[in-house]
Amino acid sequence: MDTEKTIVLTYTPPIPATAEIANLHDLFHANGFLISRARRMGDAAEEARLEAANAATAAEIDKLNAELKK
Amino acid sequence: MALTHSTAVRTACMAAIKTAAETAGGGANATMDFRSGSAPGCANAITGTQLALLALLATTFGAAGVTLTMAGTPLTTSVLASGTLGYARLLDRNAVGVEEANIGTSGSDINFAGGIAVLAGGTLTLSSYALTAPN
Repeated sequence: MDTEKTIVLTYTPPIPATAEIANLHDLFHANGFLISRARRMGDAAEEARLEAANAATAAEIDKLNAELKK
Repeated sequence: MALTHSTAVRTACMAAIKTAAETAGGGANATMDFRSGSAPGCANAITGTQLALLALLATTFGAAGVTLTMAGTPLTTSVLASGTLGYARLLDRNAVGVEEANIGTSGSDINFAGGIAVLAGGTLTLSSYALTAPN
């Protein structure tokens, strides 16, 4: 029998500065569900593909945020 | 009939986790290290990208009984890097692993109803962390 655990962790996303960034946030977070699903299914290739897509989305968010600070 | 343990043994098991987390080491308190990728197992070197690091209290847990409850919750930290949460490792004051928990949207040790992809600048809040020793 495993150790029983009650672990409650919550995540509050950063507030997007523009509507475009908000859309990218939504895309990034939605992809998180698909990554988790691929992981559960043991589909490593799909997980890697989605991870790469999310890395690109995060980079785009960083780029847009950096441009706003200029 | 299933194997069972006495209350004393179950309490000792939880006390060992508390002692491991709280025993003085490098000066810092125990931490919870949130990483991307698959959990490598506590005995192995930590892997993945560090997405967040949560500082815990010096007295990390309440008094050990059959159930062990983290002290000071809710505890909050900022997300350091964007990525997908894979696991969390409880590190003692020497940054040595004490235990690991898998993170997913369901069927994991830590389940995120809101998804497991986190963005830098977001906030992680640990609202409760309670373990109960096997019967």
